[in-house]
Amino acid sequence: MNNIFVKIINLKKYYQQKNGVVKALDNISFDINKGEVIGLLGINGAGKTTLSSILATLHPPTGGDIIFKDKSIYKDINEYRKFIGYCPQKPNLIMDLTVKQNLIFAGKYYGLCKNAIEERFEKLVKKYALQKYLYETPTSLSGGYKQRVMIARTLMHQPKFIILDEPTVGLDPHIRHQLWETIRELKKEEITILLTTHYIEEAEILADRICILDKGKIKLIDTPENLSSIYQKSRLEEVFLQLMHEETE
Amino acid sequence: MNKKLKSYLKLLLQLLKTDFIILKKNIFNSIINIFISISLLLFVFAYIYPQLGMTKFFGPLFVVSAMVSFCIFEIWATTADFISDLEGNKTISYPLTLPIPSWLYFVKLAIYYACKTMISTAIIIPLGKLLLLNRMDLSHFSPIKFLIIFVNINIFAGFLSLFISGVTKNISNIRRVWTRFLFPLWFLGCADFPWKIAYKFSPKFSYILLINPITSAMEGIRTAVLGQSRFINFWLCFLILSIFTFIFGFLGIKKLKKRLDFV
Repeated sequence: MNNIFVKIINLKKYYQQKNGVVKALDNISFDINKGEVIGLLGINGAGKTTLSSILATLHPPTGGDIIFKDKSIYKDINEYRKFIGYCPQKPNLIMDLTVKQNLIFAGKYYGLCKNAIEERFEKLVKKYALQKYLYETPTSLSGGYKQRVMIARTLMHQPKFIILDEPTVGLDPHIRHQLWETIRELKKEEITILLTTHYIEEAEILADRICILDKGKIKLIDTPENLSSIYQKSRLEEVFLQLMHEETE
Repeated sequence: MNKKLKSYLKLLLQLLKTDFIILKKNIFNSIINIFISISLLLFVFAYIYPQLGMTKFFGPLFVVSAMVSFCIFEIWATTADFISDLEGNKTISYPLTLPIPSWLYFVKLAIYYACKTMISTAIIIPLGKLLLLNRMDLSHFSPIKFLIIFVNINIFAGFLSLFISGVTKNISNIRRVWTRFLFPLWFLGCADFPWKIAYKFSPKFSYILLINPITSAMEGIRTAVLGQSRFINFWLCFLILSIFTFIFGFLGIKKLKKRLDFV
């Protein structure tokens, strides 16, 4: 019980549309343990981004609750926000600021002292090889470097829970592998990660547990090894395809 | 001070600092734009129009009214920037996950918009005086009243920007917002004539103009710069404008909450 970092209880997100109510999330419940990497998989429209944006407090749920430190995050949302780092699918860096300013201000927003900001900044700039681009604005960076800056900014205030929404989409394979390395390092630092991805291989390699969403519901949630053994498939991709095939049948 | 409130204020200050770094890059251009527009318009209004029989008072009236007019033009530009961000990079999603109440972020945004227009329109009166010389009588100028109404007008404009951003569906609707909402609001807000002239023309029509907040903005600043005699009571203008600031602030944040679906 002590190992539970975030508890998601009966989470719902409904959208009213012209042709009726769309259930983007429909009674989702699961726990995220401290220090684990949860891989969130699903086809387009399964509810992955909705779930990650609700966990990042960008949108409120229609119903249900998220428990953090034994209380609902909505009782003191700003306290919870101090512990999270959210890296959305689209780079939302401040385009008029330089890379350096984007990172430094990220530290300041979370109330870090000057020394802590400098120390963190140096470390992250070195780690993501951003030295050459510090005085450039994000508009002049390639997709891969933008993503690196996004991750560096997410990590500036040393969050305990990181929500990565499709961080590797559209990136070159070698940059994708560098990001995998980053996630592995974060895991070593016991940081809890929710990784939303389209790449089944990515989830299989990085995640401790896989959560497959379909039409706003949890199809299954387990370790990659257990999933392979339950479905008697050697690869997670085959499990995923079987599940989606069952669904269409 | 409450610890939580202190941390919110610290964060707000950092967000404003970020805004001012960006503003520093662009403000010079805005001031040049205002300088060119005011100089050309004033030349025509103060020196050519009187040849056609227009009163010489129109020059000073135009200068003072321009402080409000440029705020209105800025609302349109700010709303366009806001909507294009929502349809593009969505940079707003970052501050909405920071440890600060989301509604407070929007209050900060309105304050920033206000500061931006205050800085760029601050040159209008000195520039007007320089171009009109003794045609512009500043003997009734009240610095305190000017400061009060100048801040009030710009904060009103900031919240009006939020409201318009909340109700404008997409970037292609932005031209419609100007033609159908902002332009009538501005033009029928006594932009080019004092309210008392409208009253002479038709008392009923002039009373309708009173429910337009731009009328209060125009008349309030005219009183502060040119004196009370020809315009609506200063404190009445201040009161009406403050009420509208509150209404647009409240509705603007409510509309944005619905639109952005933030916590």
